[in-house]
Amino acid sequence: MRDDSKRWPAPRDPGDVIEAPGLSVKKLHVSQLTLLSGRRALHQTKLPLVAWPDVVTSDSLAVVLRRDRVMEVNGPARTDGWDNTESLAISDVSDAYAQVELTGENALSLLRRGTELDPKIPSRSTARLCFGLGVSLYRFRDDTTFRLHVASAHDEALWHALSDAAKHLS
Amino acid sequence: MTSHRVSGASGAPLKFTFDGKPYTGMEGDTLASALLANGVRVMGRSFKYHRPRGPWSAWVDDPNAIMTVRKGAVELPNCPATTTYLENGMNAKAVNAYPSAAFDIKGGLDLFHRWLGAGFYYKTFIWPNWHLFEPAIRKMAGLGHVTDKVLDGYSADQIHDSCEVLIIGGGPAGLAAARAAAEAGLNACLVEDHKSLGGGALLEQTIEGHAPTEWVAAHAQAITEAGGRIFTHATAYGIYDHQLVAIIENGSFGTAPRLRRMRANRIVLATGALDRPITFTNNDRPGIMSVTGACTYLAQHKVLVGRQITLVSNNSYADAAEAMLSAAGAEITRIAPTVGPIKAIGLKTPVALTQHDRTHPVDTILASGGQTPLVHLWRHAGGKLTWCDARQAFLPDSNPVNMVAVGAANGTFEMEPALEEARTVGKGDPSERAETQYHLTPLWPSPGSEGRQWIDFQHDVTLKDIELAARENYVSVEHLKRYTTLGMASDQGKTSNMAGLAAMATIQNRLIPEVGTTTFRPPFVPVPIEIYHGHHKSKHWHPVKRLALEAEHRAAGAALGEYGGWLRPAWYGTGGMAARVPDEVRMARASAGIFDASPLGKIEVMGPDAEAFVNFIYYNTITTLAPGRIRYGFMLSEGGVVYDDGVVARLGPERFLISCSSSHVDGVRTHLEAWRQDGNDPDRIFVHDTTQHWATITVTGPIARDIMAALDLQTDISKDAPPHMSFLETIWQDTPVRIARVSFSGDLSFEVSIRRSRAQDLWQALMKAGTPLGAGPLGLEAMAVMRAEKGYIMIGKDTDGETMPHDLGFTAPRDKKSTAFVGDRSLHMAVANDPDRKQLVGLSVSAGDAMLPIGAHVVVGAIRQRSLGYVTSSYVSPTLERPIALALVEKGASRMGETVNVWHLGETREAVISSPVFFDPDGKRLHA
Repeated sequence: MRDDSKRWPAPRDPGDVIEAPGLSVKKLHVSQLTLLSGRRALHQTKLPLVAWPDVVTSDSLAVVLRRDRVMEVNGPARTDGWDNTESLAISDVSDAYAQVELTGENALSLLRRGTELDPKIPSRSTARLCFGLGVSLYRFRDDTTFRLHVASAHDEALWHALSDAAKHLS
Repeated sequence: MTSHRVSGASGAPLKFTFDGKPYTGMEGDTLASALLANGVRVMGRSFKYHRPRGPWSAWVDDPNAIMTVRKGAVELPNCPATTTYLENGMNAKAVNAYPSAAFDIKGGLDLFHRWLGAGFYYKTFIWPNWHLFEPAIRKMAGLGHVTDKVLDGYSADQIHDSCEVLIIGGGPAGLAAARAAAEAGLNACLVEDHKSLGGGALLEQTIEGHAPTEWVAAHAQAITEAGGRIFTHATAYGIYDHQLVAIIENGSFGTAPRLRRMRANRIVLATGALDRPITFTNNDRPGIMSVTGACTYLAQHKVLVGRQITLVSNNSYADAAEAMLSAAGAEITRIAPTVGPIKAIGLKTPVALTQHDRTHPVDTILASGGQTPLVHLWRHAGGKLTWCDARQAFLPDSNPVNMVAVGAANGTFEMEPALEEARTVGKGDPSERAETQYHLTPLWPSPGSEGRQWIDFQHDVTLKDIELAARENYVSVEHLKRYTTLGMASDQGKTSNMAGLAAMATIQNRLIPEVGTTTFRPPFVPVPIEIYHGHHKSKHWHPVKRLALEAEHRAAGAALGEYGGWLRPAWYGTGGMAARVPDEVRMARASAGIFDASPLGKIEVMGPDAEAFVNFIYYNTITTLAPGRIRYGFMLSEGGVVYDDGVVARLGPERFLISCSSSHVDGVRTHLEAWRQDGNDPDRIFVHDTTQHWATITVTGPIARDIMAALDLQTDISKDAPPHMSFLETIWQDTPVRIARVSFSGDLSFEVSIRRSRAQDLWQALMKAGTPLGAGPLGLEAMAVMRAEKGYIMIGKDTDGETMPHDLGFTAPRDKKSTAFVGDRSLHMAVANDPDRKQLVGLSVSAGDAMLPIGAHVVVGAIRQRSLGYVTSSYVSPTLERPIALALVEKGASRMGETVNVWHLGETREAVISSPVFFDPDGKRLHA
């Protein structure tokens, strides 16, 4: 086996930001991510649901992933496992995803370099491929701020892709 | 000079060279127009015969003038001179010519043309010998040369975009359609491949009572004022599924272009039409050009391509061209090519044109055999074509979804109806194709004619080559194309397709539409490969997944490698793999190794039907698995082949945790989701992949329990509590942890999982507890050796695409499991019951011998050897101090103790077939 430790630079400082004209990208910390699956999962969370192109303002929200699955962000504590009463599968996935926030007039343009995205074309799910990586993407607070969740192990890969794409912004 | 710049041109002068000679062009020129303005005719050489070539046209349909262009440190090969805009300081050189296009030492090849006809190289496969000619042919093939130099900063941008209406083509029809769409309130985008708008409008005297430039400017302004977008110097080069249009946006020379992936609700194709060449003797000579090309040079660049011009045309468009060129000062002679064969005289420029017994002195010949609508993109999108006898051309027929052609692209060649059609379509209304006033006399190649008549200028495909192909039965146009190279490379049939298929139709006595066209495929124009990969290049083509503990591993001096998509520690410390791996194995066997097993799958299956589902997914029976217990098992494909192995833990009556192979997590998750939705009630089974929430650290070795005991885990981990193959959840430093008593090393092991954000704390605590006891970090290479010592398989390494569970010694479920499971049926087919199936065995050689090579074949037979199987894993065991190997061998289980020959690269050695379990066969250490 070849030693590839130099081929892949050491993980970046979590405090790093990407700055470009009309764009700022930073990593976010969330206290709790909980995956809820069930036939009525979308109706069983008390948090505001967010799909595309919804704009949410609450820090606590439920990201719609598919017709029977949401991910609660900064939601209430829940017990992992199968909830027979609620018919809900519950898993704490707080560390399974890294969070990135993009803000600025060029944020959409940056994202469009990695994914087909149109605020006029709605989607019931926030799940997308962005630069080839699976993410949940939604608008937060206003039209020019976006948040996305990416698998923790792909955090570096996404960050590199965003940094690379940001070089093309002018 | 024959071609020259006429008065009225304006623009800054630009200095450049061509084939080493200095010239001056003008801002707005292409390389071709600048050279023509300087009287240069010969701009390239043909592919095979190295015949001199000048530009046939003024834009993308020119196959002849191809150059390597250098500016500063940037050099790009294969730049079409007609579409490369001139910049100050450019140095251009014709490809496929040495020392220059004007004088090429390989020009003599043309003398040997009788022996270099279509497919001559294929015939050398038969006689006398391909390899005799191969080096010379390979050396001479190709046009520009690609260097291995990487251009600094040459990185293409990619962006996704969308619009309601995309209009392709910025000529009069495109502008009219775009304006109508934008003014109707639609989100309209117009794409034009020139730097400036106008296209064919600029060839007109007036449009709707306005000067063409004013009309174009007014339309462009109206489009943008109505909210439309205009992209110039951008070419739509391909249309893909669901109205996805690939647009290449070009910048200045040497800058990487941008790929815009435009998703359009509706596409309006206004790509215009091309002049097609006329097939006559020596029709490939420099100075023979398309009528439209000559008019374009004059209208856009103020370059008159000749002074004594013979205009050879079979259609009504030539009248306007004659008037335009005459007004610019050219002496025009009209020749009707339909009344008798014509022949061009002259080598590097025409000096005369003969017809019957008359000779016309000329310096330039302009030819037009009719208009061919540009339907490449139409065909990319799956649109059908229909043959129009009146226009002698294929026209767009049944529409691809949400796509309409207008103007000349639709066969509507006259300005007024074209604009009306474009405006109607632009607004979104339906439009019928108007009757045409355009008329022409059919004029197609005449097989059997004397002289050499070119069909494909770029690849030197002549009419005789078409005839030869037909004689040799390459009569399908697709076969014809591949046999003769007709329409390949940058031409893509733009100039050669119609003549080629018309010739074939005549030879076969068929109608042109019966012969049909070849398949049109993107890209419509040459594009750099750079635009395709975007960010996905080099190591980022497939980025590795990163461990939470990577910083710890780096601090410990880990050599990191990619394993199953993850960047993982291969070994630790200096000295290299050969030195470190045996040390790590000995350390782990003597005390303990601490191993980052985080990539192991942690997929939860929950719900009322979870038990039945997991039992269905696994080969092994899972229904009998009690909560808190773990079972080893296989997942099979429907073909009964082992897809994954791993353990499944039962966390509760309706909750299971599947720990699949590290490299199979994404695949297993998909496998579970697929089966969940197929034959099962998806509302009663849910699959959560929590792999990346948890980091897993394995402590393995005889003192593993002592290390674990130092952690204060608030649970009993003394001997048999928990026992081997059990699972428990507890708390460590206020954080939930999971402990699985499973082993991949053959030694006492604890797999401890904790949320990713606490992995560093746990790792440090385990290292702190283990280091004084002789334990240390264990890399993946050492773990691979330890599992082989124990006879544990790695899926995909010790199994292949045919391995079934009973080949690995796991027979009970196949014989006894009563409920259905994935792969069940296949395990009872004839192939599964073949007595000669390859089975997993060990191979032993004597201590001191070299290890067996992986991939070496176990063979029988002295003279004609036959393979019985092959070595799958092989190591020198640091524990046993001798080589060990695992292998898949025919009837392996019944060959125990047999001495077999092992062959590799001509060398044969002996080995003894043994049990695959070399270490601790009784499992005492496992249960310690």
